[in-house]
Amino acid sequence: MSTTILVVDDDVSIQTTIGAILEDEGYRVMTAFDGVDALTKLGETSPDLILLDIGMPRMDGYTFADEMRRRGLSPGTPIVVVTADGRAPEKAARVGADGFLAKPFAMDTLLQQVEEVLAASGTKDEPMS
Amino acid sequence: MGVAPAPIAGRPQTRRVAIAAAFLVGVLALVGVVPALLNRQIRDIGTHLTRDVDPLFATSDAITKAMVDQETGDRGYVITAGPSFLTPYTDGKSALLTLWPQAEAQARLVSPRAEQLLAAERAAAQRRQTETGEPEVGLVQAGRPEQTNERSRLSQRQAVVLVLLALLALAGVALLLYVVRTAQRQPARAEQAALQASEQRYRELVENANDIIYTLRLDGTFADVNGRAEEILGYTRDQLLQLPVGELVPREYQDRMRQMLDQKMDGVPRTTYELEVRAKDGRQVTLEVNSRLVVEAGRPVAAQGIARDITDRKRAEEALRQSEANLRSLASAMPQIVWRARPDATIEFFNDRWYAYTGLTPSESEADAWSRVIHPDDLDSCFASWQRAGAAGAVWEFEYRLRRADGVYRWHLGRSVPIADESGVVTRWAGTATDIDDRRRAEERLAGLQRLTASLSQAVTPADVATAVVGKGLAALDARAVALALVEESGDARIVGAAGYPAEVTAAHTTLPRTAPLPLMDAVRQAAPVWLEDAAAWELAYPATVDEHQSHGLDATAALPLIVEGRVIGGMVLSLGAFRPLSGGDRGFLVAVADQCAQALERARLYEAERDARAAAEAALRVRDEFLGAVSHDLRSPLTTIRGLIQLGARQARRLESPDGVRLAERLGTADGAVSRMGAMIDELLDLTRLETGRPLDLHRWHTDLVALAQRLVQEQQPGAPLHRLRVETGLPVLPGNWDADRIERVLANLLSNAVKYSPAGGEITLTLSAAQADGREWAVVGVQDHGLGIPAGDLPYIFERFHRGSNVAGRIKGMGIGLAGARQIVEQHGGRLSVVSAEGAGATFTMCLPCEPPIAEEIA
Repeated sequence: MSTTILVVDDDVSIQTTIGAILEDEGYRVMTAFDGVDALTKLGETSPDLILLDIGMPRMDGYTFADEMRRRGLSPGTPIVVVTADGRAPEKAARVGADGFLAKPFAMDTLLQQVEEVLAASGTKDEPMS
Repeated sequence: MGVAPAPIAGRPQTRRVAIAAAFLVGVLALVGVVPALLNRQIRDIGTHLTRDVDPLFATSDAITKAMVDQETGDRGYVITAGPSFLTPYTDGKSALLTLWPQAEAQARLVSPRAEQLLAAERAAAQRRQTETGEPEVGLVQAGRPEQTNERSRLSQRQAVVLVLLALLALAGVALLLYVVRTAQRQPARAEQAALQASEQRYRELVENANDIIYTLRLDGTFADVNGRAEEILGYTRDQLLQLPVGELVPREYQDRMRQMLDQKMDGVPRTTYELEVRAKDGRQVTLEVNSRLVVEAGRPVAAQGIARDITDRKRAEEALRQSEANLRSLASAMPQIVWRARPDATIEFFNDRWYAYTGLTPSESEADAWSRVIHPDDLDSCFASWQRAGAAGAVWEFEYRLRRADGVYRWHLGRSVPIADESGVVTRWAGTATDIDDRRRAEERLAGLQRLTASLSQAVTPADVATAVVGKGLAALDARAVALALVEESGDARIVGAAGYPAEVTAAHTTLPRTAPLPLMDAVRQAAPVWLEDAAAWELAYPATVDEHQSHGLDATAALPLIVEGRVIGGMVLSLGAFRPLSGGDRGFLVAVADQCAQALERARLYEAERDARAAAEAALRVRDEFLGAVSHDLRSPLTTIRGLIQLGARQARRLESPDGVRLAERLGTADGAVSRMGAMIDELLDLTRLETGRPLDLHRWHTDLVALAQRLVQEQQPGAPLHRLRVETGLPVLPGNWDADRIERVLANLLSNAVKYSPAGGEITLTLSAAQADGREWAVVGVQDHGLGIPAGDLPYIFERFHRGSNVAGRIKGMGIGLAGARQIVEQHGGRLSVVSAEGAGATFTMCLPCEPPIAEEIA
């Protein structure tokens, strides 16, 4: 089974871009456009990694992370915060994330970060090449 | 010559003659003649008689001398009470104690009869001495000389006479035996000589007296005067004996003399009085006269007395009296209160000023004078300090309030000095109380004004100014009420602070119409103070306001305009208590206060205006920041998409492994570079807006490896610098630290792009990385070296300043980015330093030193 990554972002073009890059790398990609949507998705399946935007309608990234843990959804799944402003490290720390990506990021940076976090989280599954 | 003394005592009328004769003969025989005769004639007579009689004569002579001395001393002392006479009296007495037994022993050798005679006389003499001489001396010593009397003196004289007669008898025996003929040949001469010798002894004592000793006949002529009279009065003795006493004594004192004589005649034994006489040279001589009557045969014949020259003493007394009087008149004339008190604070003397100031009568000033007039609040501390000074014998100084006759207390400075007697015991205090009320009030006013000024200087709003004036001004200005108003644009005045007025008055006047008939508005309209110093002036000028003001009392009032640079910005009105003329000092003071207020209000206005402007500017900046933040955030998402898709496209194009694919990948790579720079520019733009105004950035520290960062940077920048070779030089695999990687990257990017720009000819640009230890911390040191134009020495001090560009590149090379000023700010915010070494034409080396961990202070913050 291939590695599944959940991309949570209210910007559809970001969903598309990240999804395209990750899928090109062989990952399986799921998308959600805000925290509420993402929680629903987590009820269906448990991803290996979550790429999480912070500023979103209905439920932001912080609330989502708290809610996810409170509900015991997808326990142990690492989170990488993806944000557009300059305070990505703080936001990542606040969410309790395992990494962060500051927009605009380079493709290689994205892939490298995903790989590192997955390796650290102990997911043995290699992406399909 | 009789040998028996008895008949003499019984016949008073002949006694004097007998006494004199016996006395003279005895003395003649013993003192003068006998020794001479003996020398010449006794040799002719039997030798054993010579041997026995000779010592007896010598002893007799000594006894005579001792008795004469004793008698003279006794008389002199009884008359004058002068202690100088006591010496001959006591010396004579003690000499007799040894002489009598000696004489008796010698008389025994001459004949038993002589011895018997001598013993009997000795007993008689001693008895009389005990009965009269010593009691008299005792009386004089006890201060009651008047109790000695003529009779006792006569009996004493009698005793002497009897002794002398006894001696004479002895001499007679001897003479009858041996020298009758010769003795009878010389009586007149011997008598004369003896008299002179006695006179001489007595006179010497009298002459040596320090006072005039005189005998004045009742007819007003002197019977006798001593030598001291010559010295004091300037006349010779003979002149004095010729001079009627009336010539000597001025008329007014002659009356007194007569009075005194009358008293003596009436039985007063002794009179003592002062007398002024004229000396020969016209000098006034003051004499203290002590005199008694001389009575002979029961009738007064003369006054005998002692007159002491007390001119100097009188003069000293007069001088003292005069100086005391001078002091008193001086003390009275002084503007201060002057007093003198005993150590227990009982007042002995107050000058006129005391009575005038306190309104107390002399009897009211006797007891508790101070507690009547010193302010009750000052009384205890005042007395306590006085007692401390008294205990220490030190000068006392104290400021206290003293009640004036009208009940007003005024501040006085009390001073007093202890006056000690010769032994150092404080017997008096002399003191003054000086009215320092005006000075003290001026000081208090000044202190109040200083407090007011200090408050005003801290006032930043018109309300603060009003609070300061109301809070500090009332006391400083001695005012009962104060109000401060600011002129509004309409011309009306708005009350911004008031104190001391009844609540209904304050409530009724929050705004004063421009045309209101009030002192305050007059002052504002006329731009000049309005002074109301009496009720009439008030009623005349502001009849409509009298009723309202009367409810809380019409006061002396000052209304002052508050003027800044010729513009009336407001007004101040003060109620100054009971109507009274305001002195020039009062007015000047109030005008000065108003000026201070005006300045403070103006400062407050300027401060508020500036604060508003600053707030507006800050708000504008905040809006810009927010806008830029939103814009950059919004730009980042599309950029992410563009960049991600370009990179993905390039990757997939390369995967096609066709020439078209390769070309496409290259083009997409160029597009990606442009997008990447655009992203960096957005971040820089954000930072720029902060750095431009010098505001700190929010650093986002994260674990960063400088080696990786530098290598990536060089890689990214190399394509934009085809003429240069960018190179990282380091021996370190990693150089980790806790930094804001984006900002540090921006600094290094800035330094690199500068190095590229300022070495237009190309060449090698080296990024050197090393680690160092300093100040007990780890440091990362990054050098960026180029071999370009370098920086002119004159520009070096300024290159880190905002908007400064090297003089050799201005206009030739485009500048953009955070600039060196921003770079330095970022480095310094990290706790590091950015410096440069350069010479024009020899390239430049910029060195960045960064502490690997944030400074302690930042960590805590």
